Amino acid sequence: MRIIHLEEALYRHFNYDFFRQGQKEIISDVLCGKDALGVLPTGSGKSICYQLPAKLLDGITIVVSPLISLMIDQVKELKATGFKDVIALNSFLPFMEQQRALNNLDSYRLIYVSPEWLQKRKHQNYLKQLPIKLFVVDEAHCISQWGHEFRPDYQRLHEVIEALNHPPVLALSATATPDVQTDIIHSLNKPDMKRHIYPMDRNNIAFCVEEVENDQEKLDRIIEMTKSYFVPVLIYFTSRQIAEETALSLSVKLPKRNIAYYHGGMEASERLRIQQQFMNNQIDIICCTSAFGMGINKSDIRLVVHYHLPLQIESYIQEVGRAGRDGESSVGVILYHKGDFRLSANMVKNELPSMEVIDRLITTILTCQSTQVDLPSPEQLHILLDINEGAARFIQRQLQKYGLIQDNEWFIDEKKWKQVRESIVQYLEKRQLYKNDKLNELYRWVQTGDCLRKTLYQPFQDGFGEPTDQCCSNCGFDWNKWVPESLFKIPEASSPINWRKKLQKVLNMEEV
Amino acid sequence: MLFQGILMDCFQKINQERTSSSVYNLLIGKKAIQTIQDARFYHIADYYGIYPGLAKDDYRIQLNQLIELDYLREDNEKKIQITKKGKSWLASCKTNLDGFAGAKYANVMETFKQRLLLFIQTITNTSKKQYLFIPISDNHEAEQFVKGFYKQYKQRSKEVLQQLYKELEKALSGLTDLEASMFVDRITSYYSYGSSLQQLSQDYQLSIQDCFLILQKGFYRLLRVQEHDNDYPMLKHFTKNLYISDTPLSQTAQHTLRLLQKKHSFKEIVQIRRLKANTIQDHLVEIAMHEMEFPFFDYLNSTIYEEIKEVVHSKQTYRLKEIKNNVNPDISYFQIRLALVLYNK
Ligand SMILES: [Zn+2]
Repeated sequence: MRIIHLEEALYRHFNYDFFRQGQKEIISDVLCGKDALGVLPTGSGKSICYQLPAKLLDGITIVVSPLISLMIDQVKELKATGFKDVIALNSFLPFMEQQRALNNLDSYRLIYVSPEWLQKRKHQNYLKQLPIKLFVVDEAHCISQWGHEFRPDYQRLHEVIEALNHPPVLALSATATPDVQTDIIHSLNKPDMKRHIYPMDRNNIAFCVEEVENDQEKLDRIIEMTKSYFVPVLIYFTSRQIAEETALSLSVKLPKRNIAYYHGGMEASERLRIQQQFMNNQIDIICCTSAFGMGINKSDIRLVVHYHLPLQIESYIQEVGRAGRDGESSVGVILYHKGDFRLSANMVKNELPSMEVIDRLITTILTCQSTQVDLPSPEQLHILLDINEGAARFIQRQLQKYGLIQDNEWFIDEKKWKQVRESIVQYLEKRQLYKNDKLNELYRWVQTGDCLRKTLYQPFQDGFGEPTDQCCSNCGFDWNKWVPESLFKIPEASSPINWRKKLQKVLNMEEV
Repeated sequence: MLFQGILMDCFQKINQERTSSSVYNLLIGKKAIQTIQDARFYHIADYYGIYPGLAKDDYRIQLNQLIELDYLREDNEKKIQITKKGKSWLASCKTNLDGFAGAKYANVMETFKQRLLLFIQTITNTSKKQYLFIPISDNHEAEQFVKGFYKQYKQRSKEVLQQLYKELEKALSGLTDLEASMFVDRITSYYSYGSSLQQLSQDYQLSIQDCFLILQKGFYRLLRVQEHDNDYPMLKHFTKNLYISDTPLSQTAQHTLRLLQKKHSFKEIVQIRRLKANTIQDHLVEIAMHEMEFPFFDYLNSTIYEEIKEVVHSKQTYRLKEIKNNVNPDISYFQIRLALVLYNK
């Protein structure tokens, strides 16, 4: 009964003919009111697991999502598929809009919230009055200190769940090792949560590691590869500037290809243009940072190149997983040279503040207080220090945790600081060690002589599926044997004089 | 080149009387009395608000380049002077700079643009039976407008597209082929997302700023033709309910204007509005520029006016400080500002 019903509903609401692996099992549990943990590989349609129930349940579904930009993209996409009663709530919403939304919360079916937004007592009070039928924790690995993107706000979600009178909870993640899974269940305080764990290996992606001498050789290799393959390509960078520069030099070398860059420093509307052009095959090669990809549903990306590696294996799996979602043979290539590790190690180092920086901050604050000099608010503490955003957030959260910051006010005196300093030192060391371990793990993997597929998935699961095409460069990869279908024709050159013709085409008048 | 040309043109016309940031404020369309006044006095109102998103850093970089080329010179007070070399450079590229009407369409431009582009995206998609697409604009107002407009015309989408083609073709023909081509490339339609500025910059080998300004020029052209010519019923439709004025009167000045119209005195207005006398004076200057019949001589007498006019002539300047130093000390800054407005009417 239910099975037929669910598949019909899937088609009616989302226009899909069938469920992908795991979706139906999780949705069935959720609809029966059970708590569930779903670990599904990237690109497997995780979000359907709560979007369909949101349509079917007679009430409201709340989704906690860690990234505001991702949340906004998802709302946009849902609206484009005709799911209109959905909203994203976060602290960046203009005040008036926020008020309007709060007063009309019961008119939505699906409400995305950021964890920070959810922590506010006032917001919880609004939610308490609603018929909440499902509470979703997306990217649930953020709960665990051992997850690669730990978010302390996630650890307090169990309080919110309790305040909302225990609606059914669904926790979802694409990258949770068994340890992290246990952490999630423990932290949400739902010991009976049903685990739905699906293998994350992608048997249609081949892995190639190529060691080169320097950055110039990386560029040469990219030109060689993209010259012979007319398929959608993603090239990942950790630096916005190098992504831009590479896109420009590629355009010079490959004048007939459509190449663009994409990163978080671009204006939102320009980013949207690039994203949509890529979806429409107007662009074939994108040089991007990790900002690209989340919320993108392009199924025929054939080649994912890493010019720079991310800082942990989990991110790599996510990024390379954007290739070949349609199941067709695809390749992930890592280009690296000896200098890369130092670059990555530096980035890891800058993600956390040093203890000297924290001490200096506290001294400054104490001096200012004793001499009655005005202090910037805790949210603006980066004014006092020259550190990056991530490091500043780390300090804020630590001081909040021990009550030295409350409601965006400083509550620091020498005695209190002395009491908590040692705990912060220890915690900082722990995080540093952890991040370094993750980085070492990744580079160990890159340099292994063993099968890349086997070693990549080892921490997450037992075994993996038989590859549909070639396996990896360590098992032997032959480019000549990889022949994906070409998706692009060489475009005809257009001269500005032909703008009338273009305008006709743009306005659907080609038949005239 | 366009961007440089505009900067040079502005600094030539301002002639060392304002600091470098005055031109920045002009380009982004700052709603400050000083900026609006400058736009009028120095005859650079066509550039008012033509580049709302211009980043201060990008502006400064461009300015520094011009200084390095020795086209401009910056003095100790941050005032900019155009050099001889700069003047001859500017004379050689003069023709490109026409076509803007910033102040005139300051209230209209953004909305017009959003409405038109969103409508094209909507109608080209729906006429191909594609009802689900990600809109290029999040603007609520534009969305509502397009919804209403679309309802009216959805049965006749083919006709609408033909008419739109006719009007756009005719209007864009008044631009160069390059300008028209770039405008067309920016449009998002069915299964074809318009180019980003970065892409235009690569395709046409022009700076991002020039590409943006050339696109703006295209929109100003559309706005102008629909206003002056009856052959553009579709384009005219996109300006519906938009108030075209020379420069926007700020909300707060409008409030003061209403009190003025009720014949309240200056002192009364200060009391009613609980604002500083200075602020109300700012409003009055702003109102004086907008209103056809401002009672200038409630605040000036003809002797004062003549005296100020005299100094403007003899010293060839609009700088308030310089004028103040050369007139009777009893004449206030406020009176000088009003006199300058009157002088330029
Ligand atoms: Zn292998």
